[in-house]
Amino acid sequence: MKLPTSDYDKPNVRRLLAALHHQESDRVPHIELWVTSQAVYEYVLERKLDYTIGDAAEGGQSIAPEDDVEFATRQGEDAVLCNFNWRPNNVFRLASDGTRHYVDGEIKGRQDLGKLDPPPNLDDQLNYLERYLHAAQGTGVGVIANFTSFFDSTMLAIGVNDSFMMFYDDLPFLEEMMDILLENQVNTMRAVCDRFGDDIALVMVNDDIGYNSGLFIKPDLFMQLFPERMKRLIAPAKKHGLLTLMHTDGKMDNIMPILYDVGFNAAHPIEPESNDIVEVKKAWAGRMALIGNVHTPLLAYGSREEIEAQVRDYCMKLGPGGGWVLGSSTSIMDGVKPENFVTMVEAVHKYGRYGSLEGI
Amino acid sequence: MTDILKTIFESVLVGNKKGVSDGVQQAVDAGVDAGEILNKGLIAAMSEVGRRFEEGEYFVPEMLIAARAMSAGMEIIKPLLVKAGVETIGKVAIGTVKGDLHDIGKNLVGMMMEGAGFEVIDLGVDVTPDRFVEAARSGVNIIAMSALLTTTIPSMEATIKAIEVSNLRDSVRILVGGAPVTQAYAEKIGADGYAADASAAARKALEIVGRS
Ligand code: B12
Repeated sequence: MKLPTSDYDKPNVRRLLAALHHQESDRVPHIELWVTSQAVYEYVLERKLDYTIGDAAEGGQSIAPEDDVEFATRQGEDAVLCNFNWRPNNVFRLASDGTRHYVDGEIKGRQDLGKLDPPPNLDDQLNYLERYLHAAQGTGVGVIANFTSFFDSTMLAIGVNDSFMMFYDDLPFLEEMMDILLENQVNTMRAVCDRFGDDIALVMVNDDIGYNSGLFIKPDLFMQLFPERMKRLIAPAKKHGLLTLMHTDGKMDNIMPILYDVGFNAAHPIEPESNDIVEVKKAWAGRMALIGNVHTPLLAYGSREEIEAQVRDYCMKLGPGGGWVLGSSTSIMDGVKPENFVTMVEAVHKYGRYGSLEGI
Repeated sequence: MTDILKTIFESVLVGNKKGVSDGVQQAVDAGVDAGEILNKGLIAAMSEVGRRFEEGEYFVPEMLIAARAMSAGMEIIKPLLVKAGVETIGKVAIGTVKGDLHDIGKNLVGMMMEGAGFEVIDLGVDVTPDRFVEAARSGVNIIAMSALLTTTIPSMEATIKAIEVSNLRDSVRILVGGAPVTQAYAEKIGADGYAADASAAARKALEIVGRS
């Protein structure tokens, strides 16, 4: 793609922060939380990567920090993610199309805790963040510290199907697992905020707590398990005055108030399958910022005109007053046409303009 | 409803597996007809589970433990039903399409269909069009496909085409579902039905075999 020339095409983390503070800047910001398509990276970078990108969902890092920042710089994306993942004991399998995916967890009960995979080394993680910050210096690209959490990570460690039944079969064990994961992630969060709190743009937590019908589990049980633990997880970020963003799939009408009460400032991706983002924005304007929710089927199968029209419509309906950041719902995965991704990016640069960054 | 059927019904509702298997065994021992245990105990209970799920009273865990309890009861009466020549209302082959490993929704749909009285053959996940064709050839009444990914939905259309090419389209009805699937998409690819959740899926299946 063309290299940025105008300021509208360049990344600017202040633009992102303005939107999250419900203010208008020069234009609607854009971020992607996960790009898992090598083709999209290489198309934007206009060169082949000499390694295969990993899938951060598998616990590792995806693309090298320097390449990630260059990817963002070229397309004027306002921030990139540095992942602090601990997803122990996930079992992966190759699907018939050759892609590798999670299928089960190994921790079927207390008896399996002995084989719990250790968390990643904290120093290594902090060094990785430092690499990100170094690469981003002077580019305008912000760095978001993104943490896995305790709810879905517990379910994945146990196996999603089995864990659902464990809510009835052995709730104390489920809570014990949640606390093991939480403890580690709180320590990591604290270390990140202590050392790099002034350098990172914001903090994000990703934890899938819902699907198309809403919460996975009964609300009363959920309230017993989730809010207090989540408050502990984001406390170091709040103490440092950092904005906090939560990613969860699912229908948000019952979920949004919970996230708000816990202390989150923004939510991603407000899946279009189960939410009308325009309505959600109306209901939460000034209180919760939204990141989303261009539907990936549109990016995979839509025409250039359809994608432009969608982004333009969103810019008109969601842009005013800030509080909205353009992004896909949910990830730029294989199957998304690189040209279509770029069309979306160019459309927000064109239709998302407000005024100027001055005064922010 | 007799007390013992009521116990079975209520044990399914709360997902009490042991309660169900004990209850069913007791009913069998007392000479209650297996068909009656199935219809008035297990199927009636799963239909109530479906209702509660649709009304937002039950969530995924409650559905799964209820279905698990129902299966424990089914294990006991299955041989008796076969012996008595009680026919199931239809055979369904269900699977998650090629490239897709999401199975929670597919499992729930399968369980609710079993709970509605169907014989359910679970083809598992990552099921190729060819395997669906094989299932269609084996004489099932309904092929049910689940897909959760943008990139795997097209496999539904490919499967329908493969079934057509194999001249089996007239012998099976096809149901599709999964989070990104819509009624409009189902119509576009020529499926016979779509449902948004497991309980509606079971209802749709009943409708298709003329039992609703
Ligand atoms: C749990 C989950 C997972 C688990 C799956 C565990 C398992 N054993 O199934 C794990 C973590 C493994 C996973 C992996 C991935 N996932 Co996933 N996952 C989800 C999530 C959060 C919930 C799905 C779910 O189980 N819901 C609960 C069940 C009960 O609901 P359901 O499946 O919708 O089924 C109901 C109805 O749809 C209907 N139904 C379902 N099937 C059928 C069939 C018929 C015939 C009928 C009539 C009805 C019907 O009835 C069901 C019951 O009421 C969704 C989010 C969402 N909004 O759905 C994402 C989601 C589906 N996943 C997604 C993605 C991208 C992935 C990954 C590619 C991520 C990755 N990079 O690895 C992999 C893909 C793996 C693969 N090849 O399949 C995306 C898909 C986006 C898209 N449009 O393509 C979603 C939408 C999340 C998102 N917003 O990005 N995932």
